[in-house]
Parts: sequence; structure tokens; C-alpha cells
Amino acid sequence: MTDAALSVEQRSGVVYLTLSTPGCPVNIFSSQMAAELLDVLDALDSTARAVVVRSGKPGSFVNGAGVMLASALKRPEDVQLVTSTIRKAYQAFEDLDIPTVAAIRGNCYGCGVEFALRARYRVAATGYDTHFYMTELADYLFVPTFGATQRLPRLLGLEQAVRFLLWGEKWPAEEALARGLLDGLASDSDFDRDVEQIASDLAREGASTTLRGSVPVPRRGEDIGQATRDRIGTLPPAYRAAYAACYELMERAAGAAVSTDVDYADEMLASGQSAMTSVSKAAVTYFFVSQTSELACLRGSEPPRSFHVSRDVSPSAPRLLYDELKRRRVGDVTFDGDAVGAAPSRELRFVGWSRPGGRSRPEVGAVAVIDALHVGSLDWMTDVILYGPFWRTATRFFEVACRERTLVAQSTYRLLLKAGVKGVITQPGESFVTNDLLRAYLEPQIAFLEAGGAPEDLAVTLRDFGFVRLAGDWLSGSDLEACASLLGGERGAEHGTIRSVAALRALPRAHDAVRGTARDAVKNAVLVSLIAFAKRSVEIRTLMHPSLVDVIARELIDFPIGHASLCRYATTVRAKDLLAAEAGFRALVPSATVESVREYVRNGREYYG
Amino acid sequence: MLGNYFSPVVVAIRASAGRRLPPDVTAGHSLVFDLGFDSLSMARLGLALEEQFGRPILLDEWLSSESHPRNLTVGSLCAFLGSRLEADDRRGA
Repeated sequence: MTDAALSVEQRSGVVYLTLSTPGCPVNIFSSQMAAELLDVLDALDSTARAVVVRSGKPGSFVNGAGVMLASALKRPEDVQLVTSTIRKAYQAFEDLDIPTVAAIRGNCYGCGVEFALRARYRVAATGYDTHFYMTELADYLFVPTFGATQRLPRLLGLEQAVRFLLWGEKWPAEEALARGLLDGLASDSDFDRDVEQIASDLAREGASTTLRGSVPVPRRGEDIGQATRDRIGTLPPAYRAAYAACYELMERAAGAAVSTDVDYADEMLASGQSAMTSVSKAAVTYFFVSQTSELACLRGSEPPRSFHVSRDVSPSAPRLLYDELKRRRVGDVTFDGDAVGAAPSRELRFVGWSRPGGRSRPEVGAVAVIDALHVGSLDWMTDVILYGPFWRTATRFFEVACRERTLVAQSTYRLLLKAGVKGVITQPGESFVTNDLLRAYLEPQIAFLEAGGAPEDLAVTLRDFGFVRLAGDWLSGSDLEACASLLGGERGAEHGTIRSVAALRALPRAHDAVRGTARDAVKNAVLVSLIAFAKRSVEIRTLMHPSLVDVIARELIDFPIGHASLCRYATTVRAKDLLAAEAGFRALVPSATVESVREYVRNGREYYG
Repeated sequence: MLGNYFSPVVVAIRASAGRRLPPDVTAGHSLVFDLGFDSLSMARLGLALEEQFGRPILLDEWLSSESHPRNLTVGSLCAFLGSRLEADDRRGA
């Protein structure tokens, strides 16, 4: 390989190391990058009086390393071999006897956080382009491996560390500073200049006068053990061991002045063991699914040079999203002052974009925002409709609905991604794809409850399958009247029933899964209904790729990452097994749904090769 | 099997690598060690392979099928695709 992942520059005693993974839009801390870092650190001489590590990738400091490493594990013990070069590089960086700074501009995820923890100072840029997130447990169901279980509890205190590492809170830079992860902030616009000032102070004085330095947060007799164990107990059974192992390591670290080699070895073993579980392997698969979904949505479009967003004054839905985007201070996005046209309706919002090297006047598309359940036919007044019925109450997800996949839709989708909002591009038929999925997921559950099934049995059934959040959690605060109308559809007609608001209110929440008995009939009914949804969506191309089915199912109804994804789970063999149990669930799903799955089995083609 | 798959696989590799590759990509090249593939370029490769073979492809199972990343070679990928796609064709026939 000829392309370097690291570039080095030395000025006035400060060594600037710039991370830039070749051929990749974000930084991945690969073994190659680690080997280059070891070489550079080894070659430092006495003229180097401070080291700054920064990123050459817009929007990314380090996004990860773990996915490829986890994929490579065959036995828990392999983790030591697979991570050894990265581990050595982290240690060599930490062992430098001159001041070190992690200058963090762009997302800092997982092992990127663990790398930054090895710097003496951490400075981050303000703005949503820079936020902090521990991906390991939240996204991949394995215990971190580069020291986070040891360093975070002592730096942040156990309570904050648990929120960040165990429960996967995502912190913008300001919040990361307030919670003790950072030593200072620098404005996004003057970031390089501010960092250079800090670095030259460090090179001259050996210590910073502007940064507060990492002061361990005093422990306040935290007693969160029971609450944490209780919450771990509400997770799907297959997830609990990794969370419990991680928490045990963190609790031990919080109570000790320093971590020993034994502690780090225990972390590594827990990491290897958790990464070998079937749920973790499946969760790693979801990474590829979600990346594929992004690529499929953006296929054929170039990233714009910048975005421009303007809004009309009236309805609350566009205003809320507009304010959210503005509050996040996403780079390369301008607002209002750059208004680019007259609104054809007071209901609309515009997203404009400038092509790279293109004309200065932005191109414009009209985008409507609907953030409540929409029952009835679609009204295509605009190029794109952003449909996020749970945006305000539960799920930060938008269906980017369009009649055909145009640059307007792709630019809108890109803008959401940039702002950390999940979505998929859809080409709906008579109703939003979101509504189709809600029907597929909720109808069998409602039918089960209406037939006298116990909500706590339903809760345990879904939790044991792997659902962490249940419908009762994310429907709370929504318009249940509208939802009831929505569910009057196919089965309603067949059975002559109209869904009642009372039945929707009875849908359980995750905390209802304390006692109860798992019922295979309703689990099978829900899965058959979801498989039929996937088949229909791909067939009629309301979703242009199976990965989009997977993302909407994951983001909207929380389809368990422990099963990778809906389409990965829905093999023809599994579908056939489900149909073999049809007698048990026949009353809970319409016959057309069962027939559709039967056809899928007959066809014999899997969603993914 | 390699013969049927090698050329389209190399086309997909070049389209998704995002970096300069050796002029002659061989069956023995490791995608990770020799061609610099990471998790994101692997996802891109899946989509590029879809364009070559006309059906969605995820590479997660291939990644976890080899005992060491060095064994994730172009030839291993061709063999994996061959077995998967041909099995899928047989089921769908």
C-alpha cells in the first residue's frame, strides 16, 4: 500500500499528527494507522516538545476500528492478537513524556474515545459535527477492549460513565465538557488557530494555562449498582451477560485508585467473550446493513459543497425540525438568511444545495415536514415529504418520501445524515411506508390483546425475542385516535373490526416485561407479518433495497440488532419454520399475509446473497 | 469457480477501494492487508458487487469465515460468492 494514514508536521516544537484513512470518508483506527503512529512516535527527537493529534477528515476524528476487529475473532483469546498493534500504538502515545493533545473535530466514537483518553488533554470543536459516543455495547453488544471500562469511571465518575458507555448516550462537545470528558472547547470556525495556540503554550510552558486539565470527578458515594443491575435485567436475556460484565469491570475500576494489568486483561477477555456471542456477531452485521442502506440511498449523487435551509413561518412541524438543525450547528449548512425562493405554501420548507464546483446560486427543492401520524392519501405538493410521526415524542427518524429518487430527496437525506438524524428514502404508494410497517408490527399485537392475551405476556414475548423498546414506549404521547384509524386496514376489513384506542393503550412498555409468559403464537404472528411487509416493500419497490427495509425496521420499531436485521433474519428456512406453526397464530394475522409469506418461501430467494 | 467470478469481482474492488490499487490485482491479494479495505470500503464493495451480480450482497459472513484477515483474499471472496450465488440460484430455480 502506498497511501499513508498519518501525516506529520513539526512547527515551533509542536508535532502535528493528522489522521486520514486513505480512500475513506471517515477515519478508521486500523492496524495500518497504528503501525504508522508507532513509527512516528519512535522517531520523535528532543526537538519535539508537544504532540497534537487531529483529523484530516471533515466530520470525523475517529469513527471506529472495532467492526473489522470483531469480524476477525474466532476465539475470545484472539482479541489480544487482533488488537495488538493498535494496543501498542495507544500505549506508546500515552507513554510520551511530553504534553499530548487530542484535538477533536468531528465524530469521536468507540475506540476513538479510547484513543483520546490516552492524551493528556482533550480539546473539541463545538457544533453537532463533533460528538462523542461509545458504540461498542450500544451498537455491537460487545465490551470495549482499549481501556474504556477502566478509564471512564475514574475520569467521569461511575454514574456518568455508565450513562456514556453502558447506555450509549451521545454527547455533543459542550455536554462532554460539562460531564468531564474534555478539558476545553474551541470554536469550530477558529479550531485550528485555537489548537495551535494551546499547543504552542504547551511546547513553551509544558502545561496549559487555558485548559483545565483532566481532573478526576470526585466520587460522591455513588450507589447506582442496584439501579444499573435492575435495568440490565430488563434487557433481552441474550444481551445481559455483556452488559453485566462491562458494568462489573466499571464498578471495580471506580473503586480503585489505578487499574492493574489484571484489570486490563479482564477487560480484554470480556471483550473477546462478548464479541463471540451470536447476538454480537449479528449486531456487527447490522453495521454493514446500515452502511449499505446509506450508500443505496445516495447512489449516483455527489456530496454537495454546502446546504441552505429556509423555512416558512407557520406550522410547528417544519419549525421544530428547522430549529433542531440550526441548534445543532452542523457545518456547511446555512439558514434563512440564504433563503432561496418563495414558498409555494406556508406549509413548506426548502432544502437547497450547492454542487461541488458548481454555480454559486444554490439549487432548490421543496420539502414538507409531517411529524404526526398521517392517515389518508398522500398529497404530493412538494418534491419530498419528511414523515416522522414519532419525531417529537420518541424516534429521531424520518421517512424521506418522494415520487422518484431525485437530487432533492438525496440532498435532503444527506442533510439529515449530517445532522445525525436517521432516515431512509422511500417511494411510497398509497400510504407512507412508515404506516405500512406500523400496521404490520402492531396488528398482530392488537389482535392478541383483543383475543384476551395478557399485555405482560406480550411484553415478555417481544423482550425475549430481543426488542428493547416496545410499542407502548414509543407510541406514548402520539395521537392514538389517528393510530387506531391507521390500523383499521386490511385485517379490520376482513374481520369487520375497527381498532380501538383502548387496545392501543394496552400495548405494553419495556418495563412491563417483569413477569409474564412468552407466547410463541404472537411472536410468530408478528414475525410473519413483518416478513410479509419486507417482501411487499421490496417487490413493489417502495423501498428500493432490502437494507432500507432493515433500517426502517430497526429505527422505527427497534427490530433487534441481536438478529442482525429483518431481512437477514427472514431467511426462507425461517419463514418456512414459522409457517409450520401457522395453526397457532392463524387468528392473529390476515390470510393474505400468510399467503404472501408462503409465496416468499416458494420463490426461494434470500434477500442477501 | 474463480474464472467466472474473478473479473467482475476485481471491477467491484476497484470501484469501491477509494484508493490506488496495484495495476494487477491477483487472487492472492488480501483485501485488508494488501488492498487497504476497511469496514466502510467493505460495505461499498457489497454494493459494487450487487451492481456486478444483480442481487444484494452483504459481506459480513465472508469476513467472519476466514481464520485471519490475511486470508480475506480476492480468491476467497470469489469462492464465497460462487457458493452463495449458485446455491441461491438452485433454490430459486
